[in-house]
Formats: sequence, C-alpha cells, structure tokens
Amino acid sequence: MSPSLLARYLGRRLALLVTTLWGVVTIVFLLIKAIPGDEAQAAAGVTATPAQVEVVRQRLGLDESIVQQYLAYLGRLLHGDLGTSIFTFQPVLGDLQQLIPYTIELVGLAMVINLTCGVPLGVWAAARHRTRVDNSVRLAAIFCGALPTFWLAMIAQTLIGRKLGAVPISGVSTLGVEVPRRTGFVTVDSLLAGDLTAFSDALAHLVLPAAVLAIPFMSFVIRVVRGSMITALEADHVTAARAKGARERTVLLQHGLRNAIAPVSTLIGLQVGWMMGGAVMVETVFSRPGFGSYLTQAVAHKDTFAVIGMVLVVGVIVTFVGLAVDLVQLAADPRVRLLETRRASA
Amino acid sequence: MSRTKGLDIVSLNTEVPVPAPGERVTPRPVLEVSDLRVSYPTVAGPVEIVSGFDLTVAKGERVALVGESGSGKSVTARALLRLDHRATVSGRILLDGTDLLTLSGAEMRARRGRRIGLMLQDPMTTLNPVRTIGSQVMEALRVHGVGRAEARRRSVETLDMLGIPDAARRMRSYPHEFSGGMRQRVCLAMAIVAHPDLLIADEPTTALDVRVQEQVLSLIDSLVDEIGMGVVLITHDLGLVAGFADRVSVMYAGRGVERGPVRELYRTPRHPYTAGLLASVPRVDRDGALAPIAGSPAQPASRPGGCAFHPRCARAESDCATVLPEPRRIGAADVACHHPLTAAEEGPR
Repeated sequence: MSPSLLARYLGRRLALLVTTLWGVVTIVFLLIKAIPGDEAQAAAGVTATPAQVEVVRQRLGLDESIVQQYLAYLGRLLHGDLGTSIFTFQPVLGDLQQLIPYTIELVGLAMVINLTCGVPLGVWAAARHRTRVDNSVRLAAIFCGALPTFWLAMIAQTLIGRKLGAVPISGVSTLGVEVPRRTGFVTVDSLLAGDLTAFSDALAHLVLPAAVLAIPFMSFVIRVVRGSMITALEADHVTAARAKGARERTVLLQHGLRNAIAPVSTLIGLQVGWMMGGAVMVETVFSRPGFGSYLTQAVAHKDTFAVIGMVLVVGVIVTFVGLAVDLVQLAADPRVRLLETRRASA
Repeated sequence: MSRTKGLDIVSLNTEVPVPAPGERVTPRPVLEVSDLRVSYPTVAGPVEIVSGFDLTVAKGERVALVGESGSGKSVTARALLRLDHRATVSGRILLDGTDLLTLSGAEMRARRGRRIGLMLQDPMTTLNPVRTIGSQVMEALRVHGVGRAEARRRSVETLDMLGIPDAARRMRSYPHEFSGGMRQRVCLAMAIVAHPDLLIADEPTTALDVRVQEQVLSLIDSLVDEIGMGVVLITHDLGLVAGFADRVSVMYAGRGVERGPVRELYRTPRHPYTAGLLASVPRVDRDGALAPIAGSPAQPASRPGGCAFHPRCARAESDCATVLPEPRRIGAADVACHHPLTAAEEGPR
C-alpha cells in the first residue's frame, strides 16, 4: 500500500473514530439523564434544604433544558473540558488523569498474561488436535471461562495472598515505598526513579489482580487461537510446507499462527474494552485506585460528567485499539491491503 | 552422502544387469515401493485405504498413477513422504535404497523437498495467501539450511526457468496477484527448487484449464530431462497420461490392478478396469457414445472380497469374489486379474 493510500486510509479511519466517539458521548449523556433521581439533590447532599438544592442546580447549569445542557457539554468537550465532578468538585479530566494509569497498568499486565498464556496454549491444543493435550486444554479453557471474577479474586487473595503470603492482596504499593509521580504508572515511575525495590513492590501488587483479571479472558483467547489454527492447519499450504521439509515449529508459526492473526487480533481488540470493564470489579476487590472506585462513586452520585468522561476515555482507548487491530490486519494480510486500496481509490 | 543433482544428464547406468530378453532397459530406480499399506483410524476402527501397492520409478522416468477419485492415489502420495501422522504406513518405500519407513522424523524431514518434491492439486490453496511468492519458494531451500542470498538466487533462477516473467520482481508478489497457471508454476518451483530426485505431482493440472494444463505438463516434462528427476504423475485423466508418461500404474480401491509401458497399456489393456477407463475417455478420433464403467467405486471401509472390482466387472466369475488376484506378467504389463483380456479381445474398444 502506497504512503498516500495509507494516509487516506488513516484519515478515513480517524473521521470514523470521531463519529463513533460523538455517538458514545450522546448515548451516555442521554442514558444518564434518563436515570431517575435529581442530580442537583445528589450533588447537594441528602441534608440540603430545597433552597440549597436550587443554588446547586443553577451553579451546575442543571436548570437549563436538556438540549442546552447537551450543547454546552459538547462545546466544553471540544475545548478539552470534561466538566466538573459534582462529587469531588475537581475537573473530571484531572481526576481521570490521576486514575487512568493505575487501570491501564492493570489491564496492560492482564493482557500480557492473557496472551503469553492463552496463545501458546491455543497453538499447542491445535497442534495436538484430537489428543489428550487438546482435550485437557479445551477443558481448562471452559473452566477458566466459567469462573466469576469476584469469586476468583477472593479465592486468589485467600490462597495465594494469605495462605502462601506470596504477594500483597491490596493497594498499589507498600506504605513507605514511594517514588515521585511522573507518568502516574507506578511501575514506570519506579523504573524512572531507578528504584528496583519500588518496581518489584509495584509488580508484586499488580500481578495477582492482573492474573485474576486475565483468566476468564484467556478462555476466549485459547479457544479462538485453537479454532483458527485448526482451520489454518487444514489448508493445503500447510501440507506443502511440510512437503518442503519444514520443521513442525515453522509450520505452526509461519503457516498456522500467521494465518490465524486476523480472528485473534480482532478478539484481542474487543477484549481490551471488556477488560476495562472487568477491571472495575478487580480493582474493587483488591482495593486498588483506578476506574473501578471512581466509576462506582460516580454512578452512585449520579455524577453525569464523571461517568461520561470515563466512558469517553474508555471509548477513546477502545476505538484506538480497534484502529491498531485494523492496522495489524492490514500489515498481516495482503488481501486486506488490496481491499482497502480498492476502497480508497474507488 | 553424495547425490547427483543439478543439470546432470541421466545416462543408462552400466552397472544395471543385462536385461532379460523382452524386458525394457531402465536406469537404476530412484523409488521402489513394495507392498505399501496405508490405513487411517476411524470410529469403526482402522480402515485400509491403500492395501499392497507396488511402484517403481527410475531416474528420468515419468510414471503415471491413474485411478478414480477415492482409489487411494493422493493417500499414496502423502504416504510416500510420510506427511500424515494419523496414517499408519507399512511396507517398504526405498528411496535410493534407503527405506523411508525406517527413518527418524528428522531424517525424513531432511529428505522432504530436497529428495522428494510434492506438488499439489490446487494452486489457489497450495500457496499461503499471506506470504510472498519469494518467501514460499525460498522456504523450500531455507529449511534445508541454504543461506538467504543463495536461496533467493536459486529461487529466482527456478521461477525464471519455469517461465515466470520478471521473476526477481515477482518474488515480492503475493499469490492473489497471480493467475491460476502462474500460481501452479510457483507451486512447481516450490517442489523442485531444491532439485529433488523425485517429483510427486498430485493432480497438478486438475484445477487448471486445458491450455494451461498442457503448459504445466510440458514444464514438468522438460524438468525431467533438465534436472534428471523421476516423476510420479497422479491423475484421474487418462487423456493426459498418453502424451506424458513412460509407464502407467492403474490403481483401484487401494491396489495396483495393472501397470506397464504406456503404449502397451493403451493399445492392449489387460485388466477389465483399465479397459473400462480407456473406454470412458472421450476421443476425437472415434465416434460413438462413451462407455462409462457401471456401478460406483468401491469404498475402502466396505471393500468387496477377492478382486475389489468384481461387482462392476463384466468378466467376473466365481473365483473373482473369493480369491485376491496377484499381479502376474502378461506381455510387458503386470496385471492383477484372474481373467484378463487377451490381446485379441481388445476389451470394450
């Protein structure tokens, strides 16, 4: 694909991305407004007098019509203002900037665990299709998929955290082990500070919740990798590769997994979004700061801007991941490139 | 181990014992298959797809393996390379005197592609759609330890020899950018780039249209002389065989029923099945309706006793249903039939 075609492709995708996000903002805004209960009352607190509630209502612009509120919000959004939380009284953007790194760190490590365990297991099962290995891996995958996250989290805390004492079971770092905050990612900051003790401490706090978060997702990865590998390995080019004298490893990776990238990358893209949702539960159980605690509070307090802001951030992340997935497929499959080239020049 | 490869001219080996009168002089065989049996596990127990098949291919010889769909041709091809781990293969497969069935996995892998090349039926699926032509042809050399630059040079050379225009540039193309005929040339290049002693071509022209079929066959034909390899052409198309093969082996229900030099086999088929196959080939030089063979091919799981062809055979007698006919020499052919056609009868022709 030529650079100019790639530029046009990216331009079209970014336009689509903006449209998607506008849709997300609108739907979430309307949904929040549709929830019964009075935002002004929630913001003012249960003990507030009707007069105080009215003052809050005016201050937050809640006395205007929904259309005006919506337009005003969109206008501020374009200036990078996500609004002010009616619970923390801080700009939502600032709150989120504080919290996003914790959640991304958690989801990031969970995804690493998810892929480094899920993909090889799926490949292994496909390579040993219809054998005991295959059956065991499939059974394990179904088992993993059937475990509720909150239960798994508590079991992990009890068995691995308490009984074995292997890793801490709550928070993001041990009290006293602190590094200056630069990026907000505890692991990155500790590395930047050159503090390996803090780094291993951060990792120890991260690994159990990440593993718990990853396990149900691994179930899907194993099954999709296995399924698409089995299909890929039935192809004639696999027979041809073996007939050339290729090692089984080469056959599996170059002619199996390489051809299974499309469905697997699609799944991974979707899972990033689901994991952000799953993180809410895991963060709550492991008492980690992040989206989980913030979202729980925001919904409970009918904190419109906080909820929309969060959904928007997750939406941005998910749509960019989707774009990344499409680029991976563009790179991996010449037929996709051909299709996009035709579409771009049409 | 030294091996002849490249552009050696195949000459009659002087070490070959003096042939008996009437026997054809053939060079040392590169492939000798005897009593090949291949079975696959099924829920109802193992089913024998190939049951006692013999085949000999000399260097520089073109042998056609002919049979209907389901006769075990492709299974034989894959078994010769030990490609399918689910299959149980027994008998003897001698490649230059070494029994492939006694080799370890690594030893076998070292021979695949390098000593025996395999070309498959459908060029649309034999090439990996997400990898370049070049990487796939080069792979056949790279897996045998040939360096990248050398592999590239030889791949371009081979593609060029097989009539891919602008081969060096087309190495970067993907399969979907080629026509069916060009793709099959690439498949041929993958199979022979390492200059194997033997090429097994499993229905290499079935997916192509007639003119391209001829081109691909003549390419294979010229390669036999150029790199001096033996060829096993697997096909269901007897019309294709006549102009290509030196010898023909006819397969029915996993057994060889007749084999011999191509001329004799066409002129005087001895096995009723061979005669039936020939009668069902459309010919421009003869009028009249085609004579299809009655009934349908025997299924491996329910192969009839005795001669597997007897339920469909007009010449069948009581012994055909009970006694398995062993191949015996009639003229220049080996025929496995209790009641072969005589030269005078000419069969259904």
